[in-house]
Amino acid sequence: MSKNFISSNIRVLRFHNNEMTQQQLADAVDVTRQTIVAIEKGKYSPSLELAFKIARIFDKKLEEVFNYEPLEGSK
Amino acid sequence: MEKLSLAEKRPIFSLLTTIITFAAYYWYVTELYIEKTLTVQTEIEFWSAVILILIPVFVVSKIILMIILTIVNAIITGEETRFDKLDEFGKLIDIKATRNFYHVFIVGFLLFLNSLAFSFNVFISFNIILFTILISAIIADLSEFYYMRSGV
Repeated sequence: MSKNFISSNIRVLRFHNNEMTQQQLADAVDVTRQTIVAIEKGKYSPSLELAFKIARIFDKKLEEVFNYEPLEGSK
Repeated sequence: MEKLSLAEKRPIFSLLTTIITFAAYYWYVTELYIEKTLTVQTEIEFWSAVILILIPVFVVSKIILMIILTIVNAIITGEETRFDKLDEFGKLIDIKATRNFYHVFIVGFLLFLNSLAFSFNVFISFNIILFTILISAIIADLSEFYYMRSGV
């Protein structure tokens, strides 16, 4: 299993966005709730298109929603 | 233990459907096989037909499962979730599960060819390929469940 270096602030952003549910976010970006769960837990790195869609929902820049944190020695 | 989501339940239901469908089909085929008196040629034709028919039987059983799951889920939750609809995460999982299916199937197919090359017992040879299909399908469903839980 490859290690995902992408983490996200989606959970926090949902909370600050009228406590939006995972299902509401999933419906807004046209994916399943399971996909949002996997992204929040860092088990799946979304495609660039989906990442932009999520950022747009929260009216944030991509880097405000997602973080790239490679391990020491890897780039 | 963490409660299973609907997406995680899908491969579990699919696995159960695969096993039940195969068991029922294999029992029916075995009954037919016992009743018939077959020569080597007609036995090859019989088992070939069994494998050819198994594929649409699996496809139809999976379609029926998806319809039932969608209806039951709509009744319980009031939401129209389509279980056959895959997003990018689902598609990636599906691709990886299918890859695992083919890896297992290739091993079984080589065993099948070996059994033909060395012993040519029609019953054993064709049962190897039948059970290869079953095990491959089980591996695909278990893979889907695993990737859904652990991520990709």
